[in-house]
Amino acid sequence: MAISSTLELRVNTKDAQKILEIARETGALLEGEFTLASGKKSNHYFEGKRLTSSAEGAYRVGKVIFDELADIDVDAVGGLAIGAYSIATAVAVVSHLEGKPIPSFIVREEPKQHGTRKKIEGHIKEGFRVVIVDDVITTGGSVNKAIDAVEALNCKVVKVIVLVDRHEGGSDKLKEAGYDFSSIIDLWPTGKVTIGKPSEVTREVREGILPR
Amino acid sequence: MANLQKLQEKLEKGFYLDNLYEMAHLCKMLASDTIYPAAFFVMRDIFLDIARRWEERALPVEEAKRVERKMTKPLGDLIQGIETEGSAGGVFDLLNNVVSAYLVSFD
Repeated sequence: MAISSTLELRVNTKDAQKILEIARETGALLEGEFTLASGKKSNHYFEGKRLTSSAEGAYRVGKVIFDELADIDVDAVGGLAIGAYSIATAVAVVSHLEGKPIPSFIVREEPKQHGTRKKIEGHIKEGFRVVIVDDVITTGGSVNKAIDAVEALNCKVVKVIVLVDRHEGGSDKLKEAGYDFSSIIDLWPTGKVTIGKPSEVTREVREGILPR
Repeated sequence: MANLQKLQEKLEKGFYLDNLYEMAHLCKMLASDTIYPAAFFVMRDIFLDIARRWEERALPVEEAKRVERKMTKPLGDLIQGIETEGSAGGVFDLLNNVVSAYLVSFD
């Protein structure tokens, strides 16, 4: 079950700016002309693992997401393997350092074919209030798989946070469905990269007329 | 064979990850429903190998186009040869052309 939110919560812009810088430094965010898995062309390529494989990147991603959850009652954080793995772990580590532990879990693409045949690994149980994380949202396939898995366990998704929103429809569908959604970096189809609150991004930036 | 027509249509869509996996899946089905199983088995392996090279990394448009340019014609010729039920020797020659193109497609 989703929760409705009329507020568009947003990560701290300075933190997001720093993460964007690290993404560029580590090669997690590349500029050029790329063919995506779907066949679509993009001016950017984002590989979340490169960002969260760097020591500072992992810490800052964990911290910015942890801070985003300050006013939310959360039992666990996780998402679909493998994109969410390092992100959820980073949040868990930071939460321990901050004295407000939030355990993590991971949703398998396919249930284990042996042993326990678990679909979800880690610290989650029925009735938990959970946060879903992922590295990129495009059409929303990965995030929705994670949501479906935790909701099948009767958990409540209290927030969805991604490192990068490609604005290809996935985040809009989640918001329309009533999920509280945030992104740290926004890659617009026009090729623009922004870190501001999406609702404050001007039509000119969305349509690629002015730089931001 | 409907799946052969689908394979031809997907080949025309171009070379990108999702399509490569779909073509590999079609080849697997076609391999068990043809008198040329080796041709589909090899095509499937080639699609999967290209997909593995491109998985989890930035794929420049130029690289995708280059591989597509080198592979589309020989693959199309092979599918055409199978569709017209050419001689085993003729299909084998077309298959060799596909493999030869693949071996230099990343050069």
